[in-house]
Amino acid sequence: MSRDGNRSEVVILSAGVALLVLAGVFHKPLLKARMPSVSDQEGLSGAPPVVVFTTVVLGGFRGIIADALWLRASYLQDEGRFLELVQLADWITKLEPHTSDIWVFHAWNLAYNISVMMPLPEDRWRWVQQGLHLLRDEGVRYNPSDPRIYQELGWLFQHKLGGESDRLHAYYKIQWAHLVADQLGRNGRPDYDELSRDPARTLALHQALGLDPARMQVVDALYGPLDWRVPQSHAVYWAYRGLQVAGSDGYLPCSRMIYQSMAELFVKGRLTWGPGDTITMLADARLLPGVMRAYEDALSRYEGVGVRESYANFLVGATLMLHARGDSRRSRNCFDRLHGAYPTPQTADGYEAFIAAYGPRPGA
Amino acid sequence: MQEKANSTILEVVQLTKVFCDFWRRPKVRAVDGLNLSVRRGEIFGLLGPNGSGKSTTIKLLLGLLHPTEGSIRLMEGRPGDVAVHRRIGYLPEVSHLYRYLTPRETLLFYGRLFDLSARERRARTDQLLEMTGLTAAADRAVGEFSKGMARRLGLAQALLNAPELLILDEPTSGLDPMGCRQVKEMLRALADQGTTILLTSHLLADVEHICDRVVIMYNGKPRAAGNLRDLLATPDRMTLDLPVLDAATTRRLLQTIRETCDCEAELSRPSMNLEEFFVRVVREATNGASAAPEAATPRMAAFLEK
Amino acid sequence: MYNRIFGIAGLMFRQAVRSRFVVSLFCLLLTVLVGFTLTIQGDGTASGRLQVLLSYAMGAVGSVLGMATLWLACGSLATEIESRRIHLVVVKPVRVIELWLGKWMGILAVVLLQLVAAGLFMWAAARIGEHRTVAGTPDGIAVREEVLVAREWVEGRRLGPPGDRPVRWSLSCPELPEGATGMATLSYRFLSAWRDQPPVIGHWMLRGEDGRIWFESDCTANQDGVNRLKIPLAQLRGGEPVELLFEERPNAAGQVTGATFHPEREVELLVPTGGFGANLMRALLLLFCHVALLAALGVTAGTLFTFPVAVFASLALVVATLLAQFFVFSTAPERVAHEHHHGGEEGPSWIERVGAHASETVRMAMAPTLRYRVGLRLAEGRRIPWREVQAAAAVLILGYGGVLCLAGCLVLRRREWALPV
Repeated sequence: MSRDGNRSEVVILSAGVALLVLAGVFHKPLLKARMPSVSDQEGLSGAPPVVVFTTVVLGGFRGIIADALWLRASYLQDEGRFLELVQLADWITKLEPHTSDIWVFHAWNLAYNISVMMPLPEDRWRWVQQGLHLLRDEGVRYNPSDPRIYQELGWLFQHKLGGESDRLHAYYKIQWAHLVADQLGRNGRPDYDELSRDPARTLALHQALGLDPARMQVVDALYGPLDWRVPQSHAVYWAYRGLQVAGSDGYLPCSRMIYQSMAELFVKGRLTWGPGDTITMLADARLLPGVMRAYEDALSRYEGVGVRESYANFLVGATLMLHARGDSRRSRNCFDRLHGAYPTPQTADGYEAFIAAYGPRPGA
Repeated sequence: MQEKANSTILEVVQLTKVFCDFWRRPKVRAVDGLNLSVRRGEIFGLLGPNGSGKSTTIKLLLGLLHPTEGSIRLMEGRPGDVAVHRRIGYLPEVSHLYRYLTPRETLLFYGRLFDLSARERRARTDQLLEMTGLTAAADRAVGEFSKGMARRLGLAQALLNAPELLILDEPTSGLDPMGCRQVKEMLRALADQGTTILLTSHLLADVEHICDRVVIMYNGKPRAAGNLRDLLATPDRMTLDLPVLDAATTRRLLQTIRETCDCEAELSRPSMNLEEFFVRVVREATNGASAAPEAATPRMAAFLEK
Repeated sequence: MYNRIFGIAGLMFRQAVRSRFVVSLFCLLLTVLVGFTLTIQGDGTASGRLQVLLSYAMGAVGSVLGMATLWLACGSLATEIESRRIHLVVVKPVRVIELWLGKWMGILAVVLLQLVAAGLFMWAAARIGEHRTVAGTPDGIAVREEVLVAREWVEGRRLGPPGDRPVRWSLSCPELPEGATGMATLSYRFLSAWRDQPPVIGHWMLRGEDGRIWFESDCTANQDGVNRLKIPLAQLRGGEPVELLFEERPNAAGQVTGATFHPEREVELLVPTGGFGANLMRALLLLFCHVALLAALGVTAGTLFTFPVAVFASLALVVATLLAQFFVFSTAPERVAHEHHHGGEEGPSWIERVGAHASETVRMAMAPTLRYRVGLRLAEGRRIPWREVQAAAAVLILGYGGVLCLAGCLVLRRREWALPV
């Protein structure tokens, strides 16, 4: 009996030692494999409690929980039950707070997929705002150095609010203009110095629109004068913030977003209130230097990825549009740049010939 | 009535219990071919050293274990029968009580299991608490109890149903000498009133004075059995009990005996055992029952008196 | 018999209270409920938030209480057997069924206490949510008419061949309470191939058997998501069959979308027939039936195994039951065969066949236990009928609980209580 007991103890001890040795052997390769994810978690000392909890306490289980929640979100969405989706998106993103794809997917899902399920405009607008809120107030907070989050946030402004793909885009533009006007005044142009001196207004601005007056001033000085009631101005703001933290990988998308948004603002970047609660978007020639600066900044870094073509197209459009508005000086200036940088047979015969060939026909 | 008194209350024939391991391979033969019969009204002792199979036998008698071989007939029934359990009381070797209950709640709970009416439960609980000296501690949690107090409570629960057969596994284990004495006096009193008692012990001195008959077990097998007086008697010797005499008279008396019987005779002064001395000292020190209930001779609960 | 059962149940309850299990569980539930109340996000509306809160609170109460009950039940007999306290009980004139029932009922008393507390909290949270909205505003109306209400619902049965215009359904209007006022809701969905299509302009009509029109209304509906049409209760006749008609009309440009209705839940008529309080009570009773079954499972597992093994075994069974649907989906014989066929390989291996068969068996055996879930009904203001509560009690408590009770008693009868642990 005692001999049996001793034998069992020896077997168990040997097995224990063998397992320890095995663990030691596999420890280093495992650590090496984990290094990329471990480095993601380095800044935990200053991270919000939720992130510390999900990262440290739940460990690897957080992935499983996030998967389960995601399955539920998909199921509910298929069923047409959307109420929980904001909550589920919040939990899923908090469980994987450093994976930008997850933030982007859920913000997109709320703003694009779910909003269009709503029959009423005000319901739709609420869901678009939920998408904006997720990226702007949460995603940026948890990933301040990830340019992808800024870029996707900018995309929501540039495309969902600023574009015309959504049947109710005009409604969104009006609502957004109201929101901005509530914070910055009816013309959407603040006095930055005065705003910076008023902590209450600064805080309210940050809470309502996520904007920082100092950064707004910088962006405005670089590309403005921007009308902040226009969604593309915010696309420029967030893309500029992305540029500031972007390395070589994330720079181009943010840079592209800035010049595209600026080009759109040049064409329809000035908002005027119409009768009732309507708005009209007008061209703003004052933004021409800003647009050019945005293009030239992109060109200084990237030559062969479509930037040249885009710039050339913009200059063609700007030349013709300014001519049509009677602003021959700026129109000629654009043409000179076009011909100087991208000479083509169409520009070879000079400004007048170009206008005659492509400009508005007399009497048209 | 007399016939019933002499009848057998428990009959065990060739009782064997083998414990097996997980794979059903025999490991220990705890009880091996035990035969015994207990008559009504007697105190029967199951004696033996630790590991001799006493507790296993008790558990077999109660249906807590199933015999590998042999048969048990208990009060015209079988171990485990509800009707049988209604008529027996059991004190296990260790009092496994509910630590969150008070003694009063414990007894009321077990009283419900015997289907006693609420009034009866309360009356018996009060009497047993008094009888076991636990009245003062009646509303303290059992978890705070010393081993001796838990043992007293265990004994109280075993008596709740005024059992015909009281099965006690090491009843004096954990008790101080006063407690031991009280328990033994109480058992004797119960037996005098017709309760049959089956007890186990490895402390032979504890049971020597109270058991009518015993079985001595070792390694699961019965090694000796019978009436305790017969077993302990030394048939070739006798003692003469006298008051203390002076030395000359004593010498003369011894001389006369040696000459008359032509045998060796010795003279010694009888002494009380340590337990008796301890009890006397404590009783003198407390100067009566009121000062220390533990030192008093227990008063039998009214419902147990027949 | 009852004396002994209630005695054991009382002991179980008292132990749960004095070991601080009851207060710990209460604190845990309170923390979860308060946590949800403070942090939950809806869709930005008060009604949405309240719906999510009710749904999550119900789920959390069920999960926490279910797991805690399973744990308590597994230990109820197992720990007493291990500590040998059970010896003093089983040598008393107690039948094994009395022992089993006593333990189970004691646990149920603990569950009931917690459920009552959780129910009161949820009721109070709902009422506070109601008072925070302004009656008459869209959100206030939604809270009162779509959340804090018990609505009977009937799905329409399609009449006529596909493509028939107008589209027709038959349905039976639920019984209306005496003097009912307020609004019924007609809920309908279209099947949309692309997102954000132009709205559907159409006309709804409810017609009685006698051909009389009860209600009609024009509508502009979204092709995506769920559309709702309010119908005054005064215009419905409870308990009578009704024909529902929809005809699409051309929009301002003279075009029709030709939108088709979603094949699942095409149309649904929801009629308020009761209040939130009673519905909450019925939902909690459904939950109670499930937890009672878990308690029965735990007590019986405790008769067979030691405490940790009993917890593990019963949890494994619960998880297997919950996942059975998924296993069946992924290992169903025809699916396995199909994949192998298309993969150009041989037929399914024996492991796959056995796995598929086992999961199908588990699913079949346990399916009734999943039939009576509260789900989203309470949060969506859908009525949980009394007959469902009765059926749940019969199936979960008397049926499955009875089988577990018999199994437990069988084990206890054959059990050697004093075997070395």
